[in-house]
Amino acid sequence: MVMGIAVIPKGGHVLDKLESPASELPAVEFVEVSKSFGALRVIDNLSLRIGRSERVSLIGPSGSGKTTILRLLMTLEKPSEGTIKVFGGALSAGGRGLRESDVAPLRAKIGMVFQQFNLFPHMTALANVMEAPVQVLRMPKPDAKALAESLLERVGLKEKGASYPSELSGGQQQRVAIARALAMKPQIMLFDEITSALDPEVIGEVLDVVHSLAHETKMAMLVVTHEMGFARDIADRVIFMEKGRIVEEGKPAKLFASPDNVRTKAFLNAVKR
Amino acid sequence: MDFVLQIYPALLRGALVTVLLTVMSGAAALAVGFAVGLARLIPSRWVSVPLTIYVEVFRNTSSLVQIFYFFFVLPLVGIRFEAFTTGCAVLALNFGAYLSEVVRSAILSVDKGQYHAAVALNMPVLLRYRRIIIPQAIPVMLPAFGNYALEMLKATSLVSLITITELTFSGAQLVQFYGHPTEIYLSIFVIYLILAIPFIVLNRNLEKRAGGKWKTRVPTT
Repeated sequence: MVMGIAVIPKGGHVLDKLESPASELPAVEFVEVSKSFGALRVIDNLSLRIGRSERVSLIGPSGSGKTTILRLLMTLEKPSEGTIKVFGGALSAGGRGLRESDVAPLRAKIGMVFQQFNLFPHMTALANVMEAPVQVLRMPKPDAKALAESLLERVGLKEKGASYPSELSGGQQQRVAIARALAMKPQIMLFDEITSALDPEVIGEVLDVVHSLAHETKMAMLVVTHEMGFARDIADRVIFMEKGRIVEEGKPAKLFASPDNVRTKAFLNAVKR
Repeated sequence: MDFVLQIYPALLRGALVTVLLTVMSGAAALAVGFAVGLARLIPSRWVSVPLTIYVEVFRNTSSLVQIFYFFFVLPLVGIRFEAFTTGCAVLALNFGAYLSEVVRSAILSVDKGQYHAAVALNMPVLLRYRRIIIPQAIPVMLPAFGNYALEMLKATSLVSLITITELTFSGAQLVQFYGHPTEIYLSIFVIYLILAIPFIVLNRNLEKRAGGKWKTRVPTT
C-alpha cells in the first residue's frame, strides 16, 4: 500500500505517456483485448487503463462484457487476443496465458468479491478469512487470527467469527467475503455485482462497507454493478459498455447527468424506470 | 443344530477370510479410486486416455472373468501371484474403477464458485483441491462409498472360485464333505447378513450426513 499514493489524478488518463516510470505504471492495463466464447465475441478489441487508487464503475446491459473484464483480470478466463498487464507485469500476452509462476505474484495484488459470495461452507467466518493468509502467505496462525478478527470487526461482524456461512444472512456473508478478500492485502479490488444476489434490505449494509473502504484505503477498485446510485457514488470514472466495447466513459456526474452517446442515454433511461 | 455347531468353527474361519478380503481390497480400492479419480481431472490426454480405458474395461467386463483372467491367464505369461493376492488385486482394481467415478463426479459436483474463490485468493492448484474442493466433495462421496463397501463384502464370494477358502468356499467344501446343503447354506446366508450389519448401520449414518455436517446446522440469526 506504500506505493498506492495517488500519483495519477483521479479519473485521469495516462494514455499520453507511453513510457511511464515504474511508480506511475497503471494498476491495470488492457491492450487490444478480445475474448470469444465460440462464435460469441464477449470482449471486442478493448483497451483500458486504470490508475493506482482509481475507482472505476463498469455499467451496461447484461452480456455487455463487464463481468468478463473482471474474470479476465482475475485469471478465471484467458483472453483470446491481446495483452493484460497488472502494475506493468503481463498476466497474458498475445492471447496466451502465462506460466502460473509468473502470474501468481501479479494475481496476489488482486482481490475479488463475487455475486454469489462463494464463501467456503465448511469453514467458519473466521476460518474463511484466515484461510488464505495461513495457507498461501504462510502467516502464523495467531497473527492470521488477529488479522481476521480485525477485518471482521471492520465489516461489522465482530461477533460472527464462529458462525458458518449457512448461519449468516446474505448481507453478512457478502461482508465476510469482503473481509476474506482484504486479508490478502490486495492493491486492486474487483467487485462483481456484489449486491445482485441480496435481498433489498441488506444491500445498504454491504455498500456501506465498500464506501468506507473507498474512503479509508488507496486501493484501485473496479466495480461492476446494476445499482446506478452506487456506480455513481463510488467511482472516479464510469465506463458504459455494450457488446464488449466501451461506448462512453467519463466522470460520473457528467456521464449520468448528460451522456454524450445516444446508447448511453437509452440505457440510463431504461434502468431509471 | 448339533451339526451346525460342528461345522461352525470352519465357517467362522471362512468368515474371517471374507472380512479380511473385504477390508484389504476395500482399502486398496479406495486408494485406487482416489488416485484415478483425481488423476482423471488432469487435462492431459496422456493421463486421461489410459485411465479412461482402465475404468471402462473394468466396469464393463464380468468381475468373474477378470478374476479368472488374472488367476489362470497371467501365469501363462509368467506373472504369478498367490490366490489371495490375486483376489484382492482384482477386487481392488474392479471396485477402484467404480470408486474413481464416484470421486471424480463428487469433485465435479462442487460449485465452480468455490474454485473461483480459491483462485481469487491466489491459492496454488494443489491447495485449491486439498483445502477447498476435496473437503466439500468427500461428504458427497460417502453414501456411495458405503454402498460399495457392502457390494465389496458380497463380491468377495467370487474369489471362492480361485481356491481362496473364504466363507462361501469353506461352505461349499463342507457340503462336499458332509452333505446337508440346506443347513450349511442357510448358515452362510445368516453369517453374510450378520457381517453386513455394520455396513447397514454405517450407511444409515452416512446418508444422514450426505450434505456435510456444516449444511445441517440450524441458522441462529
